[in-house]
Amino acid sequence: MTATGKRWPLLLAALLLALVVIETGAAVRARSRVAGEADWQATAAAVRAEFRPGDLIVFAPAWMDPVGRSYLGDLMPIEMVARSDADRYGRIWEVSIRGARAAETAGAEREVEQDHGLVHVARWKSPPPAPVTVRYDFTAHLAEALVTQLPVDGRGDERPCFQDPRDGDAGFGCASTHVGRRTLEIDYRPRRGVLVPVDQHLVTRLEYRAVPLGGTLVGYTGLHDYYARKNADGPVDFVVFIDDETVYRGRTGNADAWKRFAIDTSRFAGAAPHRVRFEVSAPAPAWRNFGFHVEARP
Amino acid sequence: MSARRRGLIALLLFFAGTLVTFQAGRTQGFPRDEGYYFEAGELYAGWYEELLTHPSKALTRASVDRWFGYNHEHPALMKTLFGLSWRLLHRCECPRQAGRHPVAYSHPHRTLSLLSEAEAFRLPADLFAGLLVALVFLFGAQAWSTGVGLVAAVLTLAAPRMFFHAQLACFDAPVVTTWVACVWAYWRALSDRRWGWRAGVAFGLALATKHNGFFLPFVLGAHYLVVTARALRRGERFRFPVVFLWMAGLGPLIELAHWPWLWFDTVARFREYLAFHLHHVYYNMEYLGTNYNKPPFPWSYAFVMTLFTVPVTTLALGLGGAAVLLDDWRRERRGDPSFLPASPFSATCPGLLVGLNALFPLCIIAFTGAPIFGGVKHFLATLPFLALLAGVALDRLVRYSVGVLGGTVRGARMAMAGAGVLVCLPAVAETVRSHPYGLTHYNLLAGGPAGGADLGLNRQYWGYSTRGVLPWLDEHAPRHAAVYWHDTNQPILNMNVREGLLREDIGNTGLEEPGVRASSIAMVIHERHFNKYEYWIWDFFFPSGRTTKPARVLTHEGVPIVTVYERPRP
Repeated sequence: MTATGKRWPLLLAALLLALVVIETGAAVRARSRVAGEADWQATAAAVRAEFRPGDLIVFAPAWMDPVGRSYLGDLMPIEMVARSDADRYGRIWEVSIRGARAAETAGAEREVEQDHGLVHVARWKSPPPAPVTVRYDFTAHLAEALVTQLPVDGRGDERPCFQDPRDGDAGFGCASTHVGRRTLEIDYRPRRGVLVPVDQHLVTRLEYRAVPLGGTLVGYTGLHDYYARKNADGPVDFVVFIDDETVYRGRTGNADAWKRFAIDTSRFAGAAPHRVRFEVSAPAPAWRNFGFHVEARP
Repeated sequence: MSARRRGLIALLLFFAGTLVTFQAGRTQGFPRDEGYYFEAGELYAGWYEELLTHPSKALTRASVDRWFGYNHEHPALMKTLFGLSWRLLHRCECPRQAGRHPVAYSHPHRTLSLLSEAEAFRLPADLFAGLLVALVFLFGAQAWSTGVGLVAAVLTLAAPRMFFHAQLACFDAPVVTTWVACVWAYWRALSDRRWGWRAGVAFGLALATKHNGFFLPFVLGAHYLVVTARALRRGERFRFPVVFLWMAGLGPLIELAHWPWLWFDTVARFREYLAFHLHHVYYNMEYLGTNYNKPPFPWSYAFVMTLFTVPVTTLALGLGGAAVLLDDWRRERRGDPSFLPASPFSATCPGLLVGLNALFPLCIIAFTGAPIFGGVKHFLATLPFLALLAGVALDRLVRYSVGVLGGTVRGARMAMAGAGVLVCLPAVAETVRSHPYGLTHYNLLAGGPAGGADLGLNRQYWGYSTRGVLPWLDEHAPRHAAVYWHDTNQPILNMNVREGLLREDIGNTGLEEPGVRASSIAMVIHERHFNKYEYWIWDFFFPSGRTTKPARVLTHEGVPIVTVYERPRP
């Protein structure tokens, strides 16, 4: 046996000792490696000093979002936190720890960055097409919609759902459900949109009568609430009409998360408003808490 | 070392383990299930009181059902001990706390008034933790060496998840104690028939602690087959496994005797008990970024969670111990002349027994399709055996190292003492670091709690961490504040009030959406599937949508665990 071969126990003992030192050291120093109150106060002051309307604030890693919002949450309305995408925002404030990066800054151009203790702040110029000016936000204008229901097989009358605002927000009381503007939980993330729980074997219609259309309709669909997704997995049908013409027909299931679609509406663009109708139904309606968000963009 | 000295050390370890968990428990939040067991304990103790005062009434079905009907999905042993400890030791203000106990009391209990209510309830669990440490020591010391036993005893309790569960008036740590007791007694029974009945009693106590006990015969049976096959190969005559007869006889007897609820409609009720666990509703558990709440569950769960939650030094040594024992087995089979049995009991294969028990709890979760919602607590029984393997590895490493250096026997002993202290340091440091949020803790490999969050591993469960926001609530909540407590249930709140941790006037608005709507202060306990509750709070508290600013965020090493919101006051 070689000298090294004989000494392997000593080598292992040295490795063990190194592990002991590293693990004990990491445990003892753990709390000093956490961003403290002063770091966060300085970060918040820096962002506030240059924040302007139309900016987006994001946190990385995403799990520290509540901590970040406890310092900057008053600059972050629900619409921002539960956005479908970052296309509206021209500048992005990325507040990060541990070297994390937010997905929203991929492809963006970094303008400024600074460290405040253990918190890193960077301001990014959003990549094109941002910032997008939204011509019409169907979620924001939900109160203007005419909401009705009719049997899926078409046999029966179309019945209206009545304005039923809850918690100070837009909503409609239908046969056995409530259509409303909500912060949806889609794939465990917040998404601001219209919640249309599928109501028995009925089609729920949401008609917006005077929509100023641009070049595209960009939309997202998904299924709200983990418990509903646990209890059922059937698809939901979503159809979009412009002036009674079908322009989109899609199916959304549990696995689709927040599914994006885009419709070319350039032939409808112009000064004259259009009727836009959304129809929601499902072959197996139980536990199908469907949600969507649609925007008319230039 | 003499049996007497071993016993003395075991006794010291017992007291140390009990004291440490008792002390830590004073700052530990109350989890959901513990709230139910507090109530059950109080009820079960009520039956024993009735048994003393009105025995003929207590033995009727109506009385048994009244006291034991609650929480009959688990055996009664631990709840009974919790309840009796409470009945005997708590400082009583029960009549003043009407509505916060499962029973109304017109007069204070006559007790020894030594402990607070929660301390009294938890004391039996603390004693079981002390017993676990002592048993692991005895097993390690008898099978290998005093050093092995000591290192294993410390590493068993100095593990964040085990330490967390050991403080609670629940069953997950106590069943590890009864599991180890049964394994140890079985092993002793292989060489000493007088231990057969003790193994039977330990098996009965394991069954009476939690249904995990039903799996013991499988792992012990597998071990016995190997031991017997080896004995037959050596030309020894077949020895009837008397120990299993004791287990088969005393196990069911103790299960039945300790649990009055089973005394009526025994078969139907036992079936109901089994059916509850065989058809348990699937809860949620986040694992590597995915929330699992229905089958199929990932087979890797138990192994990866062990990898990320046990202190790394313990883990490394445990794997080393397994390698040492495998190498011993290989050399023995080859007839290697340098091989010397490490244990005077080697004919009874303690290494194999420890190895099987280290793997078996993990394999139950991995390969039977069992739900993973219990997290690490469902395979905690792996830990003492992993710790024993760690002790074996260290012992061998020290012996070899001292041999290389030409040291003496005394030198080897001193080296083992020093090395033992060293390898326990990281485990102790990790455990101290994790308290009182042990379920949020992840080890060095995972990158600590923040690393666990990065990896998408479960942040916590059972709603216990709201204890950390009680001081803030006491200071900020208006009188009679309507609070949405999310996953923290009413029995926990009752105990918080009874312990003086929460103001009595603070209310509970109840569950789900109506609870959030009715509240003026609401909290979300961070688990992946709980995100929707935070979104409800935004919608109902901030209908204008202009802000999402929480009032308070409770963190553990920077990782959010509870976020509290206040509805803007008009």
